[in-house]
Amino acid sequence: MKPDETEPELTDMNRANLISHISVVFFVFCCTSSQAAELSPSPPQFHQAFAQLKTLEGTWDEEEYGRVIEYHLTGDDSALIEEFIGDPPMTSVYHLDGVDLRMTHYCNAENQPRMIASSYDSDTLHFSFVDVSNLESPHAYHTRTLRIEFLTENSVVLTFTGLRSGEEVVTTHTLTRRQTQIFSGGE
Amino acid sequence: MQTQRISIAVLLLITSLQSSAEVDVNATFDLLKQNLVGEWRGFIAHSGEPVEATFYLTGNDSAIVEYIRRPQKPKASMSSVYHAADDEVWVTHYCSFMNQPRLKATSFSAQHRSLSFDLMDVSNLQQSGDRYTHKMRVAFPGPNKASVTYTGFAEGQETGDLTVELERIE
Repeated sequence: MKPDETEPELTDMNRANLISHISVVFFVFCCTSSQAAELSPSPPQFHQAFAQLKTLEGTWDEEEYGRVIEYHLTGDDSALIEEFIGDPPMTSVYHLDGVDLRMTHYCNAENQPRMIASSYDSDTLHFSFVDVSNLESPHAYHTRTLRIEFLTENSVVLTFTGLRSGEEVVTTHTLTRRQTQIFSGGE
Repeated sequence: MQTQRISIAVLLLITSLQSSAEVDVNATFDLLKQNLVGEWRGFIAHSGEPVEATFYLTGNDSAIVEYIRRPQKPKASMSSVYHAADDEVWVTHYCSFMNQPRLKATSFSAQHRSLSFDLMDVSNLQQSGDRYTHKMRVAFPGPNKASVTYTGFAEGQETGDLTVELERIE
């Protein structure tokens, strides 16, 4: 079979049409890719989010309620435990799950909502509800979302939003990092 | 042959249901609270490596946090959280293998004063061959004594036990 029977040579017109088609396809690909990136952050963003969460390690104060909050790492630094110390205490644990960032909140409401990071932009990290265990009734209070705002390296705001009988309940905790006492020595 | 296979399957099912029925959620969680909360020190059974452990209540006493520190290998410290979940008792183990198996209590042995947990699911497995804890056992062999055993699993088979022997600090 001769080449000219199967592969007609590209004329200038055909070449122009082909370039035009490729451009359109490339443009559509770029648009859909950027839309996808806006809707669902690429995996490294949640790894970055977990790295930023780990910087919380240490002791923090919540002046409004006079409580102390401690963050410490466990499991070869694979999980970050957040402890609200006081009356009553409550605990959350944050960890990666492949490309996802998850947290379980061991709540004062005596149930355990699990959430997954849904957006992150270096200043703010949002978690959305996945499921909850030990819920006394469908109307019982349980946390549905958590927003963490990293104001400065020494200031962070946690906002828990829950539902009780269908009504939203918002609780905000403003934390300030406890400064390490540096002994300057005496005379 | 077919009948024999079905009989064995039914027997296994009945056995598992009986085991599940043995775990009373309130009694089991109370047992853990009463016997675990506090400060402990001990060692890892197979190596003698020293450990320190703290068990404390959180979430309005609805969950027990276990924190096992390994002073010689600080990064290998690990935590678990035990809690009631409807009519079951669950534990999530935040493992030094960097994954997080969730297990539920499946049987209680009054004779051995021990509670056994079996795997429900596990998060953050990186590859199919990764090792993870698929069974746990909490035992109270004597007054002010406790042990926690983590049974590893990888590639379709158990990889051995890590048992932490603990004695309460007075």
